[in-house]
Amino acid sequence: MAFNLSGQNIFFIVFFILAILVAGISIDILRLFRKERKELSRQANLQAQQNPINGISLRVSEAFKRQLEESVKEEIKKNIGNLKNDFQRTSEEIIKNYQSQFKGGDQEMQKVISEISRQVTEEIKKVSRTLSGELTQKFDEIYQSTKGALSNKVAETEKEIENYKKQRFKEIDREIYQLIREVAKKTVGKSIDLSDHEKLVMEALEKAKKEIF
Amino acid sequence: MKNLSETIRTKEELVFFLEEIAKKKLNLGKEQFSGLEKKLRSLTEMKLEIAFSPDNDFLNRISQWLEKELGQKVILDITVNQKVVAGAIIEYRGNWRDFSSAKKIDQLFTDKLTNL
Repeated sequence: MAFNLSGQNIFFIVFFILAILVAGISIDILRLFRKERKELSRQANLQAQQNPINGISLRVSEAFKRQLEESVKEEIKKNIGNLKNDFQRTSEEIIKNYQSQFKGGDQEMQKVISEISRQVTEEIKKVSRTLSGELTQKFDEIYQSTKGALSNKVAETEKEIENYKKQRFKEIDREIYQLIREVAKKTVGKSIDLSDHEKLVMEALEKAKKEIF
Repeated sequence: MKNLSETIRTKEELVFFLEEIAKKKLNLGKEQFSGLEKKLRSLTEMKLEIAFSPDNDFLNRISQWLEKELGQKVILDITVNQKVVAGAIIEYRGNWRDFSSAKKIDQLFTDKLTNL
């Protein structure tokens, strides 16, 4: 059972109770006045009947008047005291009632909170498990797709590197061959002695004879 | 004084040089001189590019060989170029042939480079 008693609500309830009490007190006072008035008129009638000589109107003595006022005041005081006691008792009861309700509500609330907490924890666990599964699957998918893409990229890059290496080796070989060629020309020229030079020139002339003479 | 082979580089120079000698030393008449000039100018020229400086013996050997093979005297225009390496590059009557070792070496390496 849930209670939602704010300070404002409590104030209204107490105010309402006070209003009822004040109204009750007012009604009691009015009754008292009416009773006293009746009493006074009855006494006046009696005096008029007992002393017809004094005339038609009843004259109230000062002493009686004071006594009456005192008794009214006393009655009012008594009623107010009663009212105070009633009000205090009622208020305490209400407060006790609310306290017990709050206490019960608090316990109930704690139960509800713990239940909700348990359910939320369960739900979170379930969601976590589900999410974990889905995430694992997603990660797997991403990993597989990335792995495939990376493998292709790696293969492509390796091929490019291989081509580059081949190209570079080719260039290096070309440079080496050119260098060797130049060195060969110089060394061969220097290593041939004069008689061989002459012999090679004569061979060249022999070939020229066949081709252009 | 420079060597004659260095002074006379072309056929025209040779003709001019011989004309001068003929005028001074031989005291030739105009007709005789014209005949000599005509004869010189009728000689064919062969350009040889070789890798070494030939001595006179080798030059004589070549001249004799060429006279024998061609049936006439030939003026040799010889250039020494070590880039030829060995053998000779020959130009005769507008025909040019490269029989040098440099060409052989180039061919050898060109084959290698082509197969790379």
